[in-house]
Amino acid sequence: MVYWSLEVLQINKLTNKQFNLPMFIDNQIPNRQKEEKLILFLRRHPAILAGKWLYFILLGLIPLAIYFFLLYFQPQILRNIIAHAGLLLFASVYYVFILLFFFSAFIDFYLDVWIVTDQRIINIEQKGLFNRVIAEHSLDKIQDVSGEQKGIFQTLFSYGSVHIQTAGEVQRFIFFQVKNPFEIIRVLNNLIQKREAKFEHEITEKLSPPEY
Amino acid sequence: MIEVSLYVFLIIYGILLAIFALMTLVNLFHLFAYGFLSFTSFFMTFIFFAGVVLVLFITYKLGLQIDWSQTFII
Repeated sequence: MVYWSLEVLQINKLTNKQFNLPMFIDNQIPNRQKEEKLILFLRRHPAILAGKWLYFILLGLIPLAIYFFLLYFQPQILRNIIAHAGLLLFASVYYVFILLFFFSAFIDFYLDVWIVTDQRIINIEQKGLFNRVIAEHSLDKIQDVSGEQKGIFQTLFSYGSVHIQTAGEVQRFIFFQVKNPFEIIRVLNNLIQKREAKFEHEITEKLSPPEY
Repeated sequence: MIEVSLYVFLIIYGILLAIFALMTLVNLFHLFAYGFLSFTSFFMTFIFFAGVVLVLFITYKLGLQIDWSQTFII
């Protein structure tokens, strides 16, 4: 699917090659300017979501473990009608909430996106159920880009964080747990260099004396 | 000493399910409001609802075997 971060990059390759974006990604670029091209559409690495899901799966095994424990060691509790009714409803609520957390983890993963266009970077984060943050910065304001991969999991799955230092009000942008952070740094640096070269070219053209 | 019916459990269960439904609506609102409608989000929503329906169906089937009008003393 083209909207998976570096896949977008591979298609685009920082050229003028046009490609069709899924409509929902197109809609995610706030105040999209004319001729603005999407370079990267990033989400956290899927391993992060898988880790959370694994945790919920383990939580889901707890009632089963309790049930089998009672069945083999305390069967009289299960024969008690009050305990039986209470445990049934408790297990039911427990599992629907586990499913809800499962779904919420997906939504949290799905709604956190970082977008890099040829003009700016946009940070869209869903923080909990009722808090959504959208921030953006022009590429001109980027002062420094760095990245890190810490620990065995990040190294194995090749994900990490990209830190972007800017001169604006929000001074530090962080792309959290994104796939191939060093590749992203390379792309960002290329973009910045391209823009700087374009800017220098424009200035030189303006300052150069007219030819008679 | 108070005599309580097993229906009390069902009332508490209903309240918790209402909270669950509210939180589900908020989650769905996010998907719809922010325009993240895609095959992936539809598929995950389907899996979620299928799981919930399954859990509620099993609860209903097992709950039928219980006489909820029984009382106990606390």
